[in-house]
Amino acid sequence: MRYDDARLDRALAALTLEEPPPDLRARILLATVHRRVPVFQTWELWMLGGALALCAWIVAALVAAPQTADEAVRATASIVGNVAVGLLDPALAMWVGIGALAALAFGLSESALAAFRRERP
Amino acid sequence: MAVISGISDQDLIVGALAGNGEAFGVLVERYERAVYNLCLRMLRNVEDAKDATQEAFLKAYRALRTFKLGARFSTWILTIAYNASCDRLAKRKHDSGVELPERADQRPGPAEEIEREDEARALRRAIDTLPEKYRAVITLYHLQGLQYDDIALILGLPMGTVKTHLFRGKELLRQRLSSESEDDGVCNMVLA
Repeated sequence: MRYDDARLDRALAALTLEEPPPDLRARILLATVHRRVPVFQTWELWMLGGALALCAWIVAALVAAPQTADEAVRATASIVGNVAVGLLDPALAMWVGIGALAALAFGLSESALAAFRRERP
Repeated sequence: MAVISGISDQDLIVGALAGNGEAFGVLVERYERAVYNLCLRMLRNVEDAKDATQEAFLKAYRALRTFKLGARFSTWILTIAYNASCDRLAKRKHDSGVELPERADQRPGPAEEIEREDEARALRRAIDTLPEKYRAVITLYHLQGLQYDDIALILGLPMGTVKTHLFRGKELLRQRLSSESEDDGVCNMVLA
């Protein structure tokens, strides 16, 4: 039997969409809106674990040798003092300021550009 | 869900972006059938079609913020579904070397609909034998009732190519259905 244009068009027009399996919608919703978001992301758990391990190591080191605490305080004070003296240098302070302003300007322009793109139809 | 079923797609998207899961659920309800049928015709396998449909909605959900309000959600979700299906077809070809002519839709209809269903089944089977570019265009145009410009957007093709694919696809379909009918006739003669 020859399928002519009219017969094929009729057959195609009569062809209906198939019903999706009954569990499909539930599967989609479970993967999207009903998805349980974990309290912490994996990288956050790693960071938290690392920070806790560092704290435990410091506490253990201080307990093992109490005199190291004084040395640690002195070393920290020395570092902070050196940084403060460095920042008081006008040339360094100027370059730090320029860098911060450039970063701020770049960030603001990016945000403005993103907002402009969102508003365009 | 019935209360918000009359709301436009745009408002549902705004609602979903504001964290209203029910709004996205209505979008899933509206387009699940169209997306599933496109994936099914492309992949010719129910399980793969289910996975591709779920993947398409998941991608859409994650990328909802990038959706341009004013565009059509139907075109967007079908584009995502088409790309998801193409990725699966490419993976299938890569894994096996050939595209599997798998077909899981072999369920017979009720007895009184068998004759009508026979033609529909033969037509679906014939569509499934077409190259994927023709399969996609015929599914979107004839089964989903989309316009040429929407199909061109979804498939990322010029409108002229869509029309050419549709013409050639129908020509191939006609040839295959005609030869199938002739084969059936020969079988019937032999059986008689």
